[in-house]
Amino acid sequence: MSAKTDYSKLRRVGLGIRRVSVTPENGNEVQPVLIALGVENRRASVARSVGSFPKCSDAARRRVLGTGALVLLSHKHDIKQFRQTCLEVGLTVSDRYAASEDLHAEKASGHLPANMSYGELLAWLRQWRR
Amino acid sequence: MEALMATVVALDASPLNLLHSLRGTIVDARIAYPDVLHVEVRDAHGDLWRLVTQDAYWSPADPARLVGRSIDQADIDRQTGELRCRLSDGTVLDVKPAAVEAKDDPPNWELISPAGLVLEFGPGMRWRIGGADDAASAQR
Repeated sequence: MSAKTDYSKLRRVGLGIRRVSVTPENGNEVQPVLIALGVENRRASVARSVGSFPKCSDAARRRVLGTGALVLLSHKHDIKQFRQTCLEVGLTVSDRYAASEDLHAEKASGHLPANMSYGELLAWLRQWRR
Repeated sequence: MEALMATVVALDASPLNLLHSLRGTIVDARIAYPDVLHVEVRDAHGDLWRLVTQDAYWSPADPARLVGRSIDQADIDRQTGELRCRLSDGTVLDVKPAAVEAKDDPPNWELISPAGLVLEFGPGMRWRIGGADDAASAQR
């Protein structure tokens, strides 16, 4: 990954980078770490594409950036959706904490699809609550 | 006397007081759904604090690097809104708020205290204190 990539653009367009590693020894450089997304081998191209992006809607970005970036873009959406579904199921904050860990573990074990719809998430949470 | 006690409790539960109470050994740190960071901290009384990132980036990226270290001090950068937890080995657990995109953006992070309080921070320089056993909120 080029140290000259302007990552500030990534942040300006509000992309859902899953993890960012800040390395003070490199001055102000911020290195996106996309390990959880499974796109680390493509991160340079994603960063370049995103770097030239104008401010636009998530849907528009997804259309242009394609599948790899689709996952990259969805973090804020995923958080909103998870919080909303927890609210709908009536979970407490403590419940949500526990459900978040259990859902992550179940996804990691391959028993659930990588991207779950609102309905699927709702169904899983209802089952979890029981 | 009762009114005085209530005042003292309320003051102790101010956001910064609560945040400054986050001190102790990181006993667990892991990724949870949807790719958020969960950090569990055991304080000097043996009680468990839980820090949960939401709409935020964090560093170091690998949660395993946090386990076994202690949080010596936790504070908010008033300019950037970053949560900075100074660790016993001299490094910093840094939680940086994501860019605000919409009014219904979720908080940047939550801190669940052993007493059952939840401190939510963000989006923007906003705090909210609620109960961990209250219904979860979708936004703030």
